[in-house]
Amino acid sequence: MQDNWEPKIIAFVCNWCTYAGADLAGTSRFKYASNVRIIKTPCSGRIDPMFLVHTLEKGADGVMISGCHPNDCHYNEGNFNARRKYMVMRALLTQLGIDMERITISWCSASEGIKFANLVNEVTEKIKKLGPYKDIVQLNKSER
Amino acid sequence: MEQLIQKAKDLLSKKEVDAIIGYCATGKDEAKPALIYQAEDAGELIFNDRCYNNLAVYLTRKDVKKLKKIGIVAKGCDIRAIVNLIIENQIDREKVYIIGMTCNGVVKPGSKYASLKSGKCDVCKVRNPHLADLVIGDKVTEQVPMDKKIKHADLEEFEKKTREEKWQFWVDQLSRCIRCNACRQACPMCYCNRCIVDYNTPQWIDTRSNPKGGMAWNLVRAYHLSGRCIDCSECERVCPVNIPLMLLNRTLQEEVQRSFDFEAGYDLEACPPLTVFKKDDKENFIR
Repeated sequence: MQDNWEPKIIAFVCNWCTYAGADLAGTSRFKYASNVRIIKTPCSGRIDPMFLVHTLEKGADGVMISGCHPNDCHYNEGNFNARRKYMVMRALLTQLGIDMERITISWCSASEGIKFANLVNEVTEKIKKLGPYKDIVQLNKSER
Repeated sequence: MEQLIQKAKDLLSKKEVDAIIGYCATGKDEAKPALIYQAEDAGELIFNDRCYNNLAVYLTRKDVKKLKKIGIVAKGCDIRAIVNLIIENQIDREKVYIIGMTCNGVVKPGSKYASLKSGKCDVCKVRNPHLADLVIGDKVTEQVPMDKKIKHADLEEFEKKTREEKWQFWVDQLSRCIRCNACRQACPMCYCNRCIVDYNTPQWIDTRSNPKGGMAWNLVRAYHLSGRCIDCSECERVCPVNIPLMLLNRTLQEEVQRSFDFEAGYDLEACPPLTVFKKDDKENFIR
């Protein structure tokens, strides 16, 4: 590992809560690690588990998923459906041996700028300790 | 068997059904699926412990769907598939005539000895058909009671592995996948007109048979069967490179059972678990 290695973390966030929360973190001038790249989705229910695998496949070292708290969804039930999907997906990925330490799922509302900033810092620290994620990327290179 | 043939003749000659999906002999001590249209052909029908195919897969075929009414010879596990197809609105209950067969378990595919039961039969709760228009065969004793939670022995063994061992195991297994899509074709629950692997804008899944493609395809296949897989093991049976696909499916079966208290294919009134939710679904990983 190079000394100057910095992890790449992709965050899929919902438009209505966490994106606004991240915005609040910015306007309130909270400092958080610049390793995170935020991708805005209409709702946490939009985040297909395939996004997650694809992200790791393309070389991300960590993935964050964040949406509105239960009962706060802009579309009433998007995050409830999402929660069921993540529960199943988590069982599957654990069984396949994918490192679940690198996947963080959270609820973060529009007023929780500080929670978002702290979470990003915490996740970045954790991924830095874990090092680059090579398992899936190596699959790309190996032919049979 | 005489009762089955007699009933099939009756149904076909009275035009109660347009065709019957059943099993016929191959001449090599095996059974193969047969689609019978004429009453005089009904004599070919057989049923024994080598009828392991899940015939429910033919119910969603285009030419079968065009028929007014179809009869099907089904074991308990096949009926679970039919129930799931009904609750997912793929077929009408009125359009199928289910000839339920009591079953003492089928032989492990490819094995010569009748005592070797197929792995799926160990956890079978429906040796007596749970939904049928007519049940043929003597009532057999159920080995697993309906309210008992299923636990798969192979899965319990596998869960002892560490994360790295699991990853290595699946890389080795799934890299052998030749992407023939036999698992998709044999699965009664894979009825999409256009499968996610056939989409190329955007292309989620590499279509080549390399480790990356094999991993992505088998992952998404298992995921799409979550809460829907009825444990018929057809995917594993037809796999030409013998990938233990049921390990993945069973993981999700047990997860769905644990988290949502749902087992696919028993209840005609149930909703597929991933299309509904409870406000108090319990998880322990969301922060």
